[in-house]
Amino acid sequence: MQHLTETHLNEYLDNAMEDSMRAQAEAHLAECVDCQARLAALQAVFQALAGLPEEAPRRDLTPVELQTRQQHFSSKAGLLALVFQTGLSMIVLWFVFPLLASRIAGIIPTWNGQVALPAINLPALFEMQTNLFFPSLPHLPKLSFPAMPTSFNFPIWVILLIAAVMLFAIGNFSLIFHSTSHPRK
Amino acid sequence: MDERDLAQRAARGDREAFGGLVKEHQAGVYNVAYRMLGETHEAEDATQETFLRAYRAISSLDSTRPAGPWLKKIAVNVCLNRLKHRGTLGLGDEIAVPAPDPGPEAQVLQQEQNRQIRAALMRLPPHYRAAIELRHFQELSYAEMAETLHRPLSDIKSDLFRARKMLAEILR
Repeated sequence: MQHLTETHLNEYLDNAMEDSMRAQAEAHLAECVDCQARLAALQAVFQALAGLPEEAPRRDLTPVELQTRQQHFSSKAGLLALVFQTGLSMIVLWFVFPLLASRIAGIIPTWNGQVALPAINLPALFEMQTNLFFPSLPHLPKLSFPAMPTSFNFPIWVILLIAAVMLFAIGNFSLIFHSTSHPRK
Repeated sequence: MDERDLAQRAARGDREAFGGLVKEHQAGVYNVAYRMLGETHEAEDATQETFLRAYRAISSLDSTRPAGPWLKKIAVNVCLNRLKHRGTLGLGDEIAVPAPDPGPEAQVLQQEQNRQIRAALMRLPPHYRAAIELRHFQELSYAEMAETLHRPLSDIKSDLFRARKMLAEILR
């Protein structure tokens, strides 16, 4: 047999040679010093690579995107707590704020619970616009508009309730999202 | 919960289960990236990119088989993409593989030997490096390597054999 080619030597070491070919290669290697030396050089590479140790990562390598999703969806207890807390505080606020509202209303006597709305005269406004853009059409039909309300009743305890719920929700959500949107070091 | 359960749940889109797979395999994936890129920070970035890609391609995970090899194959392709943009070092270039820490003599010698092997790997062209990684560290067959790298079998064998020859010359 002639000298083993690079392909033969590599396939021999990879156990990728057919049995008959492998037997011929082994017979040749047994008597050819040159091929033994070339095989030994390749075996040294195999050994060097096999001896290379694994390195431990220096930190958690979970991507930030997956951390957020993973923690957000895995913290079922956190979500449950949020729903429970919101419900509970709504009930408490429902009873507490009317009492507080009467006291606050006593402190602010000038406000009667009404919010004044801006007075807009729609027919006059419409007439002004048509005169401005269509001056050649003086006989436009007169449109009638329903009377606009001038104020809206807004009990103070409703405002306080809305404010409290908003503050509570913002605080809780910001806590949850803040704690899950940063990578752990 | 064992890995098979995690893989099955992850394949159905369970993010928490996928997080479990990340924890389980991040060291293995990181080492693929470190061997191919030779630099700690880039290997960390490539590891994270691998998991993000894997998450997006979760439907292609065969939950009846271990997830580790699937993740490592993705890691090899992520690293190859990064190497394409980086270029290859020449034989005479300096390699920035960290020097060993001082310690007992035998330990220092071993660390120096490891540093030389890593430095030798960094001198290989990207496709040669990928071939060495897949064959020697992930123990894939020639056919599996060709499938992973989407290249003809003959090219894969040629790359692998030339890579070994280059390594033999560098480490001699």
